[in-house]
Amino acid sequence: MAFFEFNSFLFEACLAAALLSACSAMVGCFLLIRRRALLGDMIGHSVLPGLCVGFALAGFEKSPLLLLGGALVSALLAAFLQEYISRRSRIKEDTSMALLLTGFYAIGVVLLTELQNNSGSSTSGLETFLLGSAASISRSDLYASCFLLLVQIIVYSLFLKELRVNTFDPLFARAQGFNPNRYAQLISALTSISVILALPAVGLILASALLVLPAACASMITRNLGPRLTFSALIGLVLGFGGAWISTLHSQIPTGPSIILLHTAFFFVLAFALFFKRKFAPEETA
Amino acid sequence: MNTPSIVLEIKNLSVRYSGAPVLSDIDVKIESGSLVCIIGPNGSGKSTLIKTAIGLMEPIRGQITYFGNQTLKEARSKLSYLPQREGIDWDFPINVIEMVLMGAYKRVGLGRRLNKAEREKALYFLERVGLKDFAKRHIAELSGGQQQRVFLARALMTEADIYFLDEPFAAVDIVTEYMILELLKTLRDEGKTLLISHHDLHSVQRTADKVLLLNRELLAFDTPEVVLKSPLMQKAYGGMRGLL
Amino acid sequence: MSDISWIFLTALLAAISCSFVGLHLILRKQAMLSDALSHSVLPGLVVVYIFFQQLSPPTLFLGALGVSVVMTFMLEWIRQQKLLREDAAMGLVFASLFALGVVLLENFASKVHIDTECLLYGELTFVPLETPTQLFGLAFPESTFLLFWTCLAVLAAGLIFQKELLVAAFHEEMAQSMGIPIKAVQFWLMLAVSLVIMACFRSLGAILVIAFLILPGAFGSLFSKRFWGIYSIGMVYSIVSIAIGTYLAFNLNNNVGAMTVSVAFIIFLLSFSLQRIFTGNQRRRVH
Repeated sequence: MAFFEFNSFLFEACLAAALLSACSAMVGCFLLIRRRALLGDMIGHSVLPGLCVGFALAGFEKSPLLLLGGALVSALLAAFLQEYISRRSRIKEDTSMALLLTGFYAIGVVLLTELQNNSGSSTSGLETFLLGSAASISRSDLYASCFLLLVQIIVYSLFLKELRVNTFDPLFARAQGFNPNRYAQLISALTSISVILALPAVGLILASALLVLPAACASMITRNLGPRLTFSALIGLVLGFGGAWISTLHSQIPTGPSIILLHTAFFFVLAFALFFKRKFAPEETA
Repeated sequence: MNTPSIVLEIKNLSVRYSGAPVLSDIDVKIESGSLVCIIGPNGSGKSTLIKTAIGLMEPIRGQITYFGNQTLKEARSKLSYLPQREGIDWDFPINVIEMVLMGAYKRVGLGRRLNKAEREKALYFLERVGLKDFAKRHIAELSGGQQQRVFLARALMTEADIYFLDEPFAAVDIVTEYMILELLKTLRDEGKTLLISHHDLHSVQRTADKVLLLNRELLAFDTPEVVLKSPLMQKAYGGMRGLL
Repeated sequence: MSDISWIFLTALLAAISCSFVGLHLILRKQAMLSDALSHSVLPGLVVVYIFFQQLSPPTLFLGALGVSVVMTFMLEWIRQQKLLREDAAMGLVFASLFALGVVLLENFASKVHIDTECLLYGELTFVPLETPTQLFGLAFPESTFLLFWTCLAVLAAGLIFQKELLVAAFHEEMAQSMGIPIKAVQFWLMLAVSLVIMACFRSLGAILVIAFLILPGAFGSLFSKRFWGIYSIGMVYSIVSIAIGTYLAFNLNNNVGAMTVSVAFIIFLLSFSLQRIFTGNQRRRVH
């Protein structure tokens, strides 16, 4: 059911951008506190082989679910390998992240090139996935990101204390009888899904940025996890919408960069506010 | 006169780590209401023993029984663990009282909220460690000794019967050490059992009911007077006796 | 020289310089800086093209210098103001720089001859078709030419200051107490990484270059604990991967860079698994 009204379509696209920004914003808070801000980038790059396999199994138009499913499997496999390699060898976390990022990506490119060689049908849809555009956001993206946002809100409301103890002090949590690995896997899964949902709108390169930026801004506003999640989601919503809107007004600014740069601007505003606050109210620790 | 019950029985315990033996054939029975200090040189397995007893490490041989006949899973809610301080990210967005409240998470249950009663308890335990005024402060603002005390308040919050403390006095100032020791003695008087790995042999003498001398094997388990004067100390610490 | 020789030579030069610089990153636990910089160099490249219309050793150097200065400045400011932690700061800075780069690219597309496909995965096969530049009386393709000079510059600097760089990597405080300027070391590293990334972007693209930076060092570290041991094993590994990758790419009509990295990645995974199977728990790290 397509609305043929100009405004409605754009509004929906902006709304979708806002929602998926909020999704990434919330789960990004957990990545930030675990010092794994760049994990999102790894996940973003590692979805490519899965996407290609999904595409090969069913054309782009026919089954976005298969595409997304493939992407998810790919991302989770990469996340699993990264954790395994850094735990079981001399190779440190950052090195394993970088090598998995690039290894999976390369395999993805090989598969992509194969697809381009063999299939007559257009694979340009896949290319848009890499750089993103507001025009490629569909109704189902809107529903999916809405759903994911709700899921996250429910999960975090119910299990904030469990997430808190398992991310803060896994040893103590395990001694208490929790399983910290489960919670880490939950965060990984939510991260992967958020990134994959954000791909059509902002593209692979920038989907990972959405995990970091709103959470980083929120971290400058509050030091408590609960409020930080809320602020992060709000920032993602507002700036996601704003960025997408600006992009529709100026065609020379693609959606992804627009949202990113808006966040950066907001970050600097907060930085200056903090700077002045420290100068004129130094006894209040920020 | 009641004979105290055995709350922790370790039989024939052996633990390996990365292929190397860390603990061999440990056999010990801990009585309820006793404060046991585990001593031994670096690498003797003190931390490993505690971690195995709380279920963080798997032994390759032997077994541990809790409260006479319970497994770890059954006894878990009655056990409390105070880990070593490093490895904690003090930048984490959490304040003092939230950290203490963590001790109640498992008790309260999955998905449930913490009610007012639990908050009151947390404040009570903070008061016991002398940090009531710090409740709303961020944990990064605390000194080393204060951080250790918050850890202790969290351990108290679990309302356990056996407390396992791994190096609770590492890098802590004298005043804090004294305060913590007194608190631990009070706990012992209330009938709790404490297993503490410790470095400083002088305070061990004042505090412990029993001393467990460890150097991969169990070398001695007796009162401080007996153990600290025994020639086994030489065997445990090698040629370092002169430093003690 | 035949086309395939040029391709091989270019890949080899990339491997020599990248794995050297990358090993320093690995030792300093800054492997993800390669990812960050691979994104951040985009505005640098675009600006160079806008002003100079071409990449030559001096303009390449200027571009890399510009990017390094901006990044260092931003990261330092964030660190000093205690706004964010290093990984978050890096994420923010590289995302904004990349976003800026994309915007510039969109707006100056006519002036800047950067193909987005090229940026994402490069095309080594086009190297022999690039405009040739003269060196020693031979005609070198542009990429190879750039890489040759980059390789020379990076290795020279790295070898001269080998001792200082290694001390700074292992123990920064000690290095500082010895009078080694650790900030300069960090800047050198950023500059070197930017240089090699920019030099490689046409042939490998911004993301595959990360593989050339990190994979050899990672592979080498599975078998050796010493710098030159890791580097040499890494070089053999690179050469083998390049050879197999080029061969497969030509036969399957696929992207040479991507195929090389895929092959290298698979070799890595296989070696890792075999090592795990045969040495069991011995390589387990303390957790």
